[in-house]
Amino acid sequence: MMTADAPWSFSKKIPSDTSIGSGLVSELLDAMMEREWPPADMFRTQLAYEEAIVNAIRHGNKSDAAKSVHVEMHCDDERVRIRITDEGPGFDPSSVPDPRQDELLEVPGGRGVFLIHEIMSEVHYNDTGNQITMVKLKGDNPPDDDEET
Amino acid sequence: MPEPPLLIVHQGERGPLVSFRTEDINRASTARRIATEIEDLLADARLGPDQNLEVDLRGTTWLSTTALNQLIWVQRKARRREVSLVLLNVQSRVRNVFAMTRLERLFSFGQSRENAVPAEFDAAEA
Repeated sequence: MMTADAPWSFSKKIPSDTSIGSGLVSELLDAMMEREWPPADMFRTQLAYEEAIVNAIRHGNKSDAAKSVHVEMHCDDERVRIRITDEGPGFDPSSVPDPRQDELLEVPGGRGVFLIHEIMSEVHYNDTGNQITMVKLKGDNPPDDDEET
Repeated sequence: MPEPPLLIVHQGERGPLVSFRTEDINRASTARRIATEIEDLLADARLGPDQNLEVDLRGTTWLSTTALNQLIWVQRKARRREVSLVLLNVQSRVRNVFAMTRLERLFSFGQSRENAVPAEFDAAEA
């Protein structure tokens, strides 16, 4: 009889350095793999995390070395939750235009917020707009053509 | 001492074929360098109309918007020279990212070097 692994949790404050921020996701992916999450879910989670951490560091903290980002991650057999909090003034996510519009298609930038909403099961911001909470539910995405990892 | 190039370049029948590491195209500093190296290649190779610049994404397991931004920039540079930028061997999950963002319309896709599907979208004509 298989017993579920205990939930995995992670919490760390990091400097505004995208290399450091991006490196943290490997621990989450290891936890997901140990709990036999599908590759498609891991792909989407990694992508959403990368977008969110870069947004927090570059746009939230303006890459200010004096500012930190708090990364909290939780993974169990059915649910991944990622919360990223920067020390910036916040933003209004509803003010970000839809990057799929014809006139914005060739404009670099502006797709991270949109992609996060497309690929994660739930997305919430705090009132200030300097904290994002993303949830991925296991198997909650369209069937993937590519079954290879 | 100059930094080593990030692009891996091969010469094909219809133009150069380039590739790069997944981590390099997804990191802002190196993604920018890759884009600049591709732009230099476009100039040095004197590519012109009806020639291709092929980007082999076979080994690219994921693409962030950082990477997409640089590919958009490169596409614009190629288009100005009337060179076709073709993305080869894109994994289906990565292709889905292009589809979600409607960027599929901006690029041509193909497998290896044959049967590229041309881009549907030309901002200049939109």
